[in-house]
Amino acid sequence: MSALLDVRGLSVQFASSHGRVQAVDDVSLTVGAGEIVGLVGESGCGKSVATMSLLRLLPPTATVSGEAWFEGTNLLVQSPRQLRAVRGRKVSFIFQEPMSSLNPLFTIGEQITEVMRKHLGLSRREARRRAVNLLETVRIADPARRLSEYPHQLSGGMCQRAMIAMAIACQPKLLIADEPTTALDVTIQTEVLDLLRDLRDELGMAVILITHNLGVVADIVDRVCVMYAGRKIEEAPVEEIFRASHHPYTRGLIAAVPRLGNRVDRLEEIPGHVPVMHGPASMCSFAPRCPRAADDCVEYRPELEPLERNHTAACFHPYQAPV
Amino acid sequence: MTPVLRVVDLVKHFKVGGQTGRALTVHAVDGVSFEIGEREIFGLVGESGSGKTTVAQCVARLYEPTSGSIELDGVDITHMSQRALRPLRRTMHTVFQNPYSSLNPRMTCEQIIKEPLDSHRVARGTESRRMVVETADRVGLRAALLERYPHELSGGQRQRVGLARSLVLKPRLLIADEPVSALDVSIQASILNLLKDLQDDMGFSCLFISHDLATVEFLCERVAVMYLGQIVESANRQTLFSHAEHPYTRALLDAVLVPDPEARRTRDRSHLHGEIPSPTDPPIGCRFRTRCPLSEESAPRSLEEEPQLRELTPGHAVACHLAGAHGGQRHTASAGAAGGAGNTG
Repeated sequence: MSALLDVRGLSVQFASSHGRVQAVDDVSLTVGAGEIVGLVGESGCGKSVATMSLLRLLPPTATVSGEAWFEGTNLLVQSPRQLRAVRGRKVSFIFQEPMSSLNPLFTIGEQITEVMRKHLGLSRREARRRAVNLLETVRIADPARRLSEYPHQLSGGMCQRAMIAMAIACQPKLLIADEPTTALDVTIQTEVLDLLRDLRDELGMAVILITHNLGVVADIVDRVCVMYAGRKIEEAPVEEIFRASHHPYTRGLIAAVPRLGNRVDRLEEIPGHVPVMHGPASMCSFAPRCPRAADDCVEYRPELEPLERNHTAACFHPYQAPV
Repeated sequence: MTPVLRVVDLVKHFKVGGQTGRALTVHAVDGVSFEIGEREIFGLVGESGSGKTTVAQCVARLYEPTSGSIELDGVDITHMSQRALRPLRRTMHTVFQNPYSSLNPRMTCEQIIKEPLDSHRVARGTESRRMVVETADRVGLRAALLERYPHELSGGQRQRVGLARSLVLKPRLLIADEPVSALDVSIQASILNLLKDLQDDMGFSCLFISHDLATVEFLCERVAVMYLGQIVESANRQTLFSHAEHPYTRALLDAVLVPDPEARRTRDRSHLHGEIPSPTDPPIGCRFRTRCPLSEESAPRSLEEEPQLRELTPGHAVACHLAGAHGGQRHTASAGAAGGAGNTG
């Protein structure tokens, strides 16, 4: 089966006053239809930049190279006009801050119907009828009234649901959700995740879920890609990642999270912090913080190698035994 | 023995202009009582809008309490003038959530940490420099970082500066309002370990505010859960995390996502529907009844009568009409059934 999205050798550099910054370094990624892929890593690892570059949503200071094949076309070389037919129609985005990504000057209804009128050419009346259905789908009570309200009149959880309604209005093939639950309370978080899962099941929509929250990953993701300092360093089905990850960074990340009902006296720490990359890596970027680092880790750069079926890791000294 | 902090019946209402011009009252905190003992870490948890931060701001006297009383080491500070309060401020310090916005960007780390020493006239010159370096060392900041400005530091380092500033006067009470929420997971772990070590070492008491139950379980000996301005359950750590009685506490515990894909199959679909009601108009009777999975069982009593905090066992208090009536098991079963009916219906 060919993948819905096939990203090959994606690199993103930014020009800044402190010189070049390598935000994404040679990342490849595939997403199958109806699959939920998790992009995991700490702030600054390049996970948001990588996905934003796919729809060319980055500022002009960014230089993007590589290929991103979606339905037989390379998104990275398409004209702005061709891209407009993809954005919001076939691939749509949900951002972390629902309050700041909705336009405060337009009602929820105007913002949802705009997508459908532009992309699907619906009449005002038909778009409105569908918008009511969409708000019902995302479980907003009293949808007809909510349509004529402004973002500030809705709570954070409701704004996020309105964002999701807007993102799925044209039944996209791929939804990119960037930390969709980070700004929400835990009780709302599970509702939003249940909703995303239902939408995948009902519409067959694929999802790239960007998150640093491993609880969210364990709950909803099928396949996990772990990123560090702009590079993908491990990829495996979700059960594998939690049961037997190979990369020391992935293990460190999982061990650092306090677990409810499994109290420890000390949490595992990862000393040091994420480096800022000024060009493609020439060594293992994690080596300075790694408990298993040896001489070869600072001399050569480890490439992603298959260690088991469907499980790759970029590490010269991977863990072998399960956790 | 006198507790380090005693809060009795704390109420904080805010007046705001309504949409139609008429004034509304926000019931941010409505009758909260708790005590924090010597060397104790006390956790206050709840969703956004539950009033937990307002409690902290009242304790720090950044807000003027509407009524109730706050005692610090047996001294009533509820309505003490800011001037009279100044010497007491040495004994109570706050670490804020966001280390990016709570440090003055125009001061070096040394100046930031040293400021409390100056304003309380505790030490000057070499003595103050020595105290700054010693505290910085304690929180794991290299002396070389002291000359830097906050923007030159990472998030974890900034939060260490925030901690150093709060601890340089060796306070009796540390108020920590979501101190790790803005940090990355790997950094969170080191700050939480550090906070625990420092508390062991220096023996301060701590009011720890968080929405993250796993963090609270790691750090706190006693925990209170807030909902719409009130404490709905309080207990020691073990009881709260294994024998929670209030349906809200249980829902919060259920909603915590465990980093284990196996848990996915066993997780109930969320059965706490809707969102926290507006504190300008809290429900009459039980404040939780609009979202409670047991609302049918507790009606009609919950419609009229506000449940009071009752001690079920020594140290474990719950504000629910149904608490203790028929143990915990039945409640879980009925909540599960309600969730199931919702899915198929």
